[in-house]
Amino acid sequence: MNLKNPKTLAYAGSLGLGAMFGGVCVGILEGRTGHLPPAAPTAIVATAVLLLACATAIPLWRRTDEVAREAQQSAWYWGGSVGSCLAGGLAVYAALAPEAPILTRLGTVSLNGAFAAGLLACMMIQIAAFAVGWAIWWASKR
Amino acid sequence: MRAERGWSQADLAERLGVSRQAINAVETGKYTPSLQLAFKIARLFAMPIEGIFSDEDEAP
Repeated sequence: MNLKNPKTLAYAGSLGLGAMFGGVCVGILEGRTGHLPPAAPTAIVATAVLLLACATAIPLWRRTDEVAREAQQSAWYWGGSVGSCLAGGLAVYAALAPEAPILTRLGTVSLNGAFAAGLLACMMIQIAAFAVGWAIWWASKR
Repeated sequence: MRAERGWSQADLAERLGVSRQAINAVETGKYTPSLQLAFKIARLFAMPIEGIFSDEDEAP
């Protein structure tokens, strides 16, 4: 596998992200029910979702022009960094106040579930920060 | 140059294969295009790159 090839890198990155997202979903399910979902159907659904995501995202990215790519790059850099800081703050808050309502509302019954919920929260915060960064970038170019 | 040819931003964007927002950002000077896009623009207008873009640091 040549990771210097952008196409290979894109597929490898998608697989990594897909595996992480699939793991988070399984963790959330386990946290809510106390049981791990059956492995084979979970793997099939996760693979199907991943392939669908790749089939949608890759042509969309190829049609995206350089200005929109610059917007994405800037939004991931700034939005991702700010989102990470916010998620880090949330993690510190959760560690210092484990009985805080934000955690009990997640409805987890296991450590795996809490970990997955925390990971999901980090991803959501980063995506929200990305959206804000993206909007700011475009607003600055108007 | 674009207006002289009676093209809208959307027309030019379509000819260059970019979005209208990209054209707007380039025209307002808020985005510096890549060399690839700059050459594409120059070819479309049949002009040299320096006839279309100028260096801000260049002495007047």
